Amino acid sequence: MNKKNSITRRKFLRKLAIGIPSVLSLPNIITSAALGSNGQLPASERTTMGFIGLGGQGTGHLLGGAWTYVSGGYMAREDVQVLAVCDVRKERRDRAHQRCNQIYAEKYAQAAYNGVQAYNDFREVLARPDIDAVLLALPYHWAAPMSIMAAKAGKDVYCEKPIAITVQEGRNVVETFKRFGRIYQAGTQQRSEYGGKFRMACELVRNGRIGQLREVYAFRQPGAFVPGTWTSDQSKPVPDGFDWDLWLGPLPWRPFEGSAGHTLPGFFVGDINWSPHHYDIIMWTINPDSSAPVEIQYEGAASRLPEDTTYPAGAIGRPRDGNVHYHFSNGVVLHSTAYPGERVGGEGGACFVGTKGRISVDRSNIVSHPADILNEPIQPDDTRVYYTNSHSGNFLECIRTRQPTMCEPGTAFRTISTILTGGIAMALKRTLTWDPLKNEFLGDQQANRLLSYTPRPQWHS
Amino acid sequence: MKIKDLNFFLIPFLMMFAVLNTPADEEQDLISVLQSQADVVQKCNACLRLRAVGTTSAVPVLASLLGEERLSHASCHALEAIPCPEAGSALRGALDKTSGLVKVGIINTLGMRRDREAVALLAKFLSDSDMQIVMASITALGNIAGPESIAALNTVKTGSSPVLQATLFDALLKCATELAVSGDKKATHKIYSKIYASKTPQQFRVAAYRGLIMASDEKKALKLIKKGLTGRDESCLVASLQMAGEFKGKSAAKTFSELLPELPAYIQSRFIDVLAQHDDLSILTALLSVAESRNPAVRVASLKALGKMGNESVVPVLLIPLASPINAEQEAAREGLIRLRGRNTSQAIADNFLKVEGPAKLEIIRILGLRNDASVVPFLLKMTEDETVGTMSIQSLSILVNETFIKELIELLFRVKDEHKRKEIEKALVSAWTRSKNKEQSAAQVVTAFKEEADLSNKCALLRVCGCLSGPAVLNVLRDGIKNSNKDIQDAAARSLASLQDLDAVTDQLAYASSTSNLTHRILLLRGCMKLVDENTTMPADRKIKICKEIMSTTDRVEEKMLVISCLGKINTIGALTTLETFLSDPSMKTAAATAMLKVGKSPDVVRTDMSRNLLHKAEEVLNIPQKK
Repeated sequence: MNKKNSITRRKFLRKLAIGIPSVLSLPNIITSAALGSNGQLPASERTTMGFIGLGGQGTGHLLGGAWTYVSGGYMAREDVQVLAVCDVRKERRDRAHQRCNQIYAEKYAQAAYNGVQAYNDFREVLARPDIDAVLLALPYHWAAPMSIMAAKAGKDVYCEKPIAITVQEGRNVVETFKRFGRIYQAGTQQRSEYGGKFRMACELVRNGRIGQLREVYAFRQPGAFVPGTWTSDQSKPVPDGFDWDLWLGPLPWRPFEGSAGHTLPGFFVGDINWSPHHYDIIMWTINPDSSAPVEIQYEGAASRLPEDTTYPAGAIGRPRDGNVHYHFSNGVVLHSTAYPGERVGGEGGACFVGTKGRISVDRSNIVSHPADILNEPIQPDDTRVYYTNSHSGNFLECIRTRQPTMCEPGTAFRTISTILTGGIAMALKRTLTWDPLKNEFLGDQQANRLLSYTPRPQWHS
Repeated sequence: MKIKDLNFFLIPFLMMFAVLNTPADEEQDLISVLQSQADVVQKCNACLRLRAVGTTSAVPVLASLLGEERLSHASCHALEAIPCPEAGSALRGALDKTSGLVKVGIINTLGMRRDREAVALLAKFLSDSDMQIVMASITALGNIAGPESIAALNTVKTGSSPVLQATLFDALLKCATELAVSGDKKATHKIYSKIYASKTPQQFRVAAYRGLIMASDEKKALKLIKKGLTGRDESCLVASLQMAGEFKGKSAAKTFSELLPELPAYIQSRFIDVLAQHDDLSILTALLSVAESRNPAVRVASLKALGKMGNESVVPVLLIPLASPINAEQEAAREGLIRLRGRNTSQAIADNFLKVEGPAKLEIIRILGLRNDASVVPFLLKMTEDETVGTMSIQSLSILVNETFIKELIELLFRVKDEHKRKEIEKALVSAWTRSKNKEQSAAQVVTAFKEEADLSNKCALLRVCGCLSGPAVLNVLRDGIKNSNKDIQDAAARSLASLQDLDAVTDQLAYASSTSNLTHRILLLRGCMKLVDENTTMPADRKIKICKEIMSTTDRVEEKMLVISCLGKINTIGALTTLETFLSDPSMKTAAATAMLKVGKSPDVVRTDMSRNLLHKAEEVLNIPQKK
């Protein structure tokens, strides 16, 4: 046996957590605190992380904030050591860099603590052998390519939604994570958080409390990547400290036109931002046959949309793109519209309609009609689904156990492919049939051409 | 015409084609754009559209753009999706005429198309002097896969370049995945073994060992997993631990059960997490064998696993750690007992009650409630009078009871003397009513019991319960109660009437508030009434305002008046504005009233008339807000 490959317990625990070779922690983090004094976990049992993308979502995960479900963010966790922050905007990364070092300086009582490094180029973060996992909160077009690059670099990944902008990208994520056995959690935290309301709805429906499930109302349009233009000749000065070329990454090159948020204007039909939350819960609950074709019926703009249907702030759904109705092989029909007159469901939720009643759920409420449905809680012998009450905690736990997370790539792909195929039906304004086994539309070559795009040469993976 | 102006017309023009023209017409027009003097933006947009509608006809013009730096990417994007063989030929034909990133893009596109005819050409680039081209070719060959690609990839000399080695191994891993699907086990194993044997970063060795396991039949796969778990190679260990979760048959369960006790404790604890993914009861015996391990991590992991996959047979094992001084063990046992499956599990937990001591007894009662299994209600009812666990039993009952148990709960209430317990029984009665299918009938049970009961304290307790129910029977009994000559009954009835969540109670609340001399009752009733009105979303605005006015006339306390003003501030009508205006002359209320008026005024529901403007001006004056000119 090669001596290099021999294992000790301590080494094993460390390797198990990181799954990559030599552990070369930066000298400036090997402090007495890092070694486990002060009642903290020793560094060998902490997951070392890099945070890539430091906008509202990324910073929320990192430091906590009004919207976050982990007080103080990952920085406050005893089982995590943040080593890197990365953003193509200097101002954002400098702010996070300073704040993280300040927090650790106070925590470890080391005024000059500088163990958190700041990066513009994420590849430098991925190249660090001492980083176990990365949290990606990125512009939409970066989610899949960067997840794949991270997996190949031996990192485990927590990726904010949408996890891919094309079906092909989603498939690549699934295949890469399977090939490398890396841990992946999609940021669809509704499965774990919000007091278990969504899990409760899922289990009640799956256990027949509303009778046979017939219809589901998603309260959201799906969406798809269908850019209206390839490039542009409009240009504005790139703000100081903003790496525009790296922000663009795999997208076709174009000059900076003054806008660079989650995406660029005119790149998507429908809603790709909030829909992952809605459709994730729906697919979890419907649990359709993953080998049976799904008909995606297109319906022209807004004719079924009740007048009072509104999209909560932050959403980018466009009623004028129309709606779709998915017909699953088990007879369930999923509408992208709201359930008429139902107030509960708009905030990440859905309304499930069965032969004996209905359940509506969102982040704030769960209601049933008749009300008694909710009074009959799940019994020990009922069908249960994956249980966790902390999405980030589940990610970190699975890094240690190497077992699948709550929203592993296959699950996340099932949701995003539902969204993207629905979005393609909306873009083409016609009804399509999707074969989830072959991952292609049946008898529609034009629709199949929208399942992928060609990334810029330097960003092909 | 300026280029920008041309774009202004051309983009909508192209989009219009998508809607109006047949694909063939549209394709011809797009080809014309590409052949014209149109600028880069227009041509790129035409390529974008040709991806959707292009056919063999578009290939020559797209091919002509492959060498142009600003157009090559868009052209590749179109050609990648056009399924005809001519598109592949065009891409291959461009390889010798291009260099740098343009050539890389073409190589990538051939890889995306999985163009087997390109393999020989790509193989030549594996020794190119441009490293970008070498790496793109490796990646493309990995995407194309097949024996020819593998043969080509096997010629790559990575030297000391870790980046090149990573790219090569990734490509080979992709090829091996394809081979495994095709069933060529020998060739698949050869690739995985090559990577596994190399001095490569661990993620590739883990991937290779995973691949070896996945590509093997079950017998061999289990052997590899066993080897990985008992050996000393960390890549094998990580891969084996993960892959063990993928094998869930009888044979795997037997192998893993036998293996578990042999493993070192630090691997055992992780392996138990894997075993918990299985749904095979034969694993239970193995888990039970390590449940009392000397290693706390192993104990906690096995308790978690037993709770997840066990049944009533593991109840005694999970009960022991309820008294453990180690929090993690206690928590794992508690969670396990709550989630443990099996038709008789709840009863089995109850049956063990006498076998545990101290705080564990309380835990058992709490767990029985959290299991949501009503079959243990009789047991819990029996335990309600126990000195140690009585209160907890009632709390657990609260979670489980429905209308079936109202009678028993009332009898219990009458029997129990301890005040704290009685309060808990009252809560359980309300829970039973909340969960009942026929609320009116359930409320009537409580009311009947009240009428038939002679004991004053019991009667008062039932009146308190009535305050949390609703329906005509309840309202009637409270109406009678406030007229009762007994002060205690009168007090309980008044307080319950105040808390009643029933719109029908509003009139009674107001009437009794205005007639009673008991200041506490008046305050409670007015506040209860105000809450009902304020929170109701279906009551007409006029009725709300009328009730508000009545409350105002019934009280002289500023506190209640402020509540009325707050309620009026949420009623977006002129009527609310007019009512609020009457308080502007009262120094103690004018600021609050004026603020509420401005809030109402901001609502789009309030029509701007001279009258409303006038009222709002008065409010602004009170708040010293300068008038708008």
